[in-house]
Order: sequence, then structure tokens, then C-alpha cells
Amino acid sequence: MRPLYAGFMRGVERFGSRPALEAAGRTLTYAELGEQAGAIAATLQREDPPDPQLTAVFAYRTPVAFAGVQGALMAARGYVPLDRTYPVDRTRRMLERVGCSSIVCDTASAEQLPEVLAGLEGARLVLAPDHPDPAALAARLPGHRVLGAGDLAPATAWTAPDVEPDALAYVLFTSGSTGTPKGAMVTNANLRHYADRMAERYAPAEDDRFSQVNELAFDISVYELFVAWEGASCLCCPSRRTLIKPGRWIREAQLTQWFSVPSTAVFMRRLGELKPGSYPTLRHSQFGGERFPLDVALAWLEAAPNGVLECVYGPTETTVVCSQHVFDPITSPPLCEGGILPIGDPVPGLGLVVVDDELHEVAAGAVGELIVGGPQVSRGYIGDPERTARSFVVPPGRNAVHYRTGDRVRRPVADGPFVFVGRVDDQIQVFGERIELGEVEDALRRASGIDAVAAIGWPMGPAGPTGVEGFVGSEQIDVDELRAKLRGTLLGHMVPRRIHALAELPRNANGKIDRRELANRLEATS
Amino acid sequence: MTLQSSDVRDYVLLSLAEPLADSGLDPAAVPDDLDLLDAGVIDSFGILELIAGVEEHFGVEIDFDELDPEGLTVLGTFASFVAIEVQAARGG
Repeated sequence: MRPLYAGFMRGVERFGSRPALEAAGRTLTYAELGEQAGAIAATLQREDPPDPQLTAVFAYRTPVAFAGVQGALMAARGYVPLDRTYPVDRTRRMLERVGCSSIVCDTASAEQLPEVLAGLEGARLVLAPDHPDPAALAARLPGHRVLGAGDLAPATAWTAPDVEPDALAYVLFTSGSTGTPKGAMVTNANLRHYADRMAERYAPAEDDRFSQVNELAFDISVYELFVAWEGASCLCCPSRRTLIKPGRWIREAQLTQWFSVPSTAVFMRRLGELKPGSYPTLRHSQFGGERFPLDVALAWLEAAPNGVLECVYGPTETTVVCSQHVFDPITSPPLCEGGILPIGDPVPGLGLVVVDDELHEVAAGAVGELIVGGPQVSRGYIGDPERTARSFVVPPGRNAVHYRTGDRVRRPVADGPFVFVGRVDDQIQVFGERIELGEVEDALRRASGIDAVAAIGWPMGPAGPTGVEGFVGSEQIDVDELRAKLRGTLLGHMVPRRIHALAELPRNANGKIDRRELANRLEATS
Repeated sequence: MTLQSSDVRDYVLLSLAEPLADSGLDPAAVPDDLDLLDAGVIDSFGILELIAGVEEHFGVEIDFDELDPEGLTVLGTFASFVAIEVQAARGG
């Protein structure tokens, strides 16, 4: 198998003076980024025991983030992205779960390291390539080893390793219903298959300029990094603020490839940024991670008239994307259900099957749960055989493991597309970020001491719920104090916008808390 | 009557009273260069809500295309942009 680092290394060897990355106000050529990644890789090879084969990358929108990902892979390690904008407590739990002995960090993220590592067992090797004062950082991390730029092995010391197809490429954490995030283990073979299919489809080249708008902890970033690097293209990473209103940046950076959640396009349209002909340089635009409304797709196609527009679909567990729909303004609208684009046809090589409760395929045109088989099915959740067994199953009559997506999908009729209908369980998506309402409820329960709690996705926007609202079954609760507590334990987008203290929560016939009734009440009072 | 940017500012602070308080900020004392995003007062969705509120309150539709991302999140810049747009829409 061709190692994942081979695409990037081809860029270093053949297009060394071309831009590889624009981030944090700097442009790095393939040679420069290759030098940084090579030094990280050579140092990991020299200093870090090869097992367990994961390296954490704790960096945010800086060159170190990208050199760290590439450096880990060049040392035959998978990467685990950590994010300093997440609660420290969550970062610590993720690190504890994956148990990696090495961390590559940028200066701003390093500030959190003493707190992140507090209470964790084992010494870590910390690579801080852009830190101005590694000795000061080391003094704050007793028991761990800190290496600054001057302590790293030279890139020339790197030796290209063989990589096992089953070795992990990355571990990405998704929201889990019991309060513990689930770490999906994606292998080199998984990502190789995905990157190859996408490189065939999009033919990235050295004059392509990819948007890099998604956080490394969100798997659309995997497309951005690896498909751009396959083509020796340039990755363009804007600041968080630029992303609030990215129109001018798309023009000035002359982007040719775009991939984001549909909510970004919804925002842009609202801000007057989807005027016809606004983005003539875009050659490919993809949207995925949540429902893609037809009217937004039509507006985007007018704004980027020289490019192809696609609606794509895929859970993290099946490696970024497993189906794609090329949008056509004439033929696509009749295929939409409820004003939402279909999720399209399988990525070549993958098996998408719509099944009933017993995992038998439903009739054409019927709705069931989507299960996915094939070379992109990941190895399950790290350190969590129970939840892995629940979601990764061999359906009756088949001989390969399929991932149960929990998504309700309509099976195509004839050569039509797959159509997303809704979620099987209580998982919702807010702006592309997956939220298990159970995880929010678990946090509400623990923070309030009240058993009867509920969380619902509300209000509904054109692309699904745009927020979370919480309920506690006690009027004695100080909701402001409760929200403050939740901010310390939940990711920002999971903290309920409002918490309602009710004497009693409505229940349905089965005695379960009636979320629909709660939504009705919010609707009635808004 | 001429709309002043201070009128817009007052409206913004009033509609953001709750998140401002959550962030420990006193509406009477926030500077014009306060960045609402950096200060954690609003997120991208909050900006859309704010815009919808501003348009409804002042009874105009505003095209924000020409405004820099910074202008969208910095209190004073946002207020003066909105004031000018509202004034223009009212034909004054």
C-alpha cells in the first residue's frame, strides 16, 4: 500500500518551491513544511517508543498543526487532533482514552498543557517546534520531556517507514450518548481508499487552492489535507473570524476547492455573500455534515457558476464521505424530499444498504436504517468494545462488517439517489456538529442532581436544528448557575442556549419524557 | 430624525444583555472596540440572530456584503455601519 505520507512527499520532491500552506498569516512552501514535518517525524522515530502508535496534535490553525499531522504519519503513527478551544477536561479525557505518549503542540495550545496533563499517568514526550521558550514550558511540565525547535532531529535523519494497512491513520472523537466521547479508529487502508477515490474524482493539481475551514477534530478536514496534498495543491487556512464571513477571503485567496457544512452557505446568503458570479475561481464545491437545503444549493451554484456543486454524506466511522450527489439545477430538484438534497450514490467500492430492524434490506423506495460496508469502514471505537459491537455488525446473509449509521434513509428506486430522511435515535446535528442529546442530558443530570431532564434540538432552521434547549424537572433550580456549570463540561455548541425549569416534564404513554411536547411548548411561546 | 450609531449601539447592547452578563460584561461600560466574538458574547449563529433583530427593529433590510468580517463582530464598527445603511434606506 502506498503510504499516506507519499502524496505530501511527492509535493516536497517535485514542487518544493510551491505553496503548501497558508495559515496564521504565513505561507509555507512544500519544502518548508516538509522540513518541519520531517524534523517532527525524525524526532518521533528517535525518541518515542513505537507503541502505542498514536501521536496527539494539539495545535489550532497554525503551521505546527499541519506539520504535526504529516510528521506523525511520516513516523508511521496515527494522529489524534486535540483542540484548545474545547474544554480542558474533555481534552484530558480524550488523551487518557487514546493513551499516546507523544504530543506535538503549538505555543498557544501549550499554555493548556500543564492543566491537561495534570492527573494523567505516564511521562509524555512534548514537541513544541514553534515555542519561544521551551525551557520555561519544560519547567511547567515536570516529569515530562519537552523538545523545542533546537532539540529536534534534522529532517534529513528521517527514514521512510513501511506502514501497515491496518495501522491507525487517525482517531477522531464524536459525541457519545453516555457522556463519554467515542474515538473512531480510522486505518491507513481506510484513508488510502478514500483519498484515492477523491483524487480520481477531483483531480487536484499543484495550481489548486483548497479551503481549509474545518477544525482538525472534524473529519471534513481529512479531505482538505489529504486530497490537497495528493495533488501538491495549496491549503488555505483562514482565521476563525474570517470564517464568520468568508466571501472576500474566498475571492482574495482565489480558492478553487471548497468543502464546508451547509450552514456556512446559509450564513453567507444571509449576509449578502451569495450574489451571482461572486466566486468565479471555484471549480468544485462540496457540502456535507448536515442537511443541504435546495434553495441554498441553487444560490451557491449561481454564486460559483464555473464549478461543480455536490452534496455529500458520511459518518466519521466510514471515513469522511461514503456517498455523493452532483447537483444539477434541472434534474436535482425533483429528487429532493422536503426541500433537502439527496445524499446521492455510493463512493465506488462501498456498499450502502438500507435495512429494517432485523438488518434485512428493505424494498426499493422504502425507508430504513442505512448501513455501510466496504474498505472505508473503520475499526470501531478506541477502548470501547461494547459500543463498537453495537454499531459495527455483520448483517444476516452478509459476510463483512457494516457500520450502522443510525440515519434513516430512503432506498433508491432504479438508478436514483439515496435520500436522507432523519436520525434513528436522538442524535442531532447542529451546524454539522454531531450532538447526542443523551450526552447533554447526562451532563444536565449530573450538574443539577435532578433525574428528570431533557434536551431537544430547537429551533429548527432550514438545515436542521440550530441549537439545543434544556429542561429540568424542578422549579428550584438556578438555571444561570446550571448553564455556567455545563460550560465547564460540555463543548460550546452542546451547552443549551436556554434551560427551562419546569415543575414536571411531560411524558408520553410509555412514561418517557416527551420531547415532541416540549418542542411544541417552545414553538407556542416563541 | 437622524439615526445615530449610538442608537444602534444601545439596541445591540439591550438585545445582548443576557450573553453580556454571562460573559461578566457591564453594558454601560463596554468599549466601542469590544469584539463580541472574541469576548464570547456571540457565536456565528448569534450574529445572524442579531442581524435579524436589527433589521426588524429598524424596519429595513441590510446588505452586509461590503462589510469586513471584523466589522460584523466589533460593536462600534457594526453600529456605525448599520446606522449608515438604515439612514440610506430611509432616504436620508
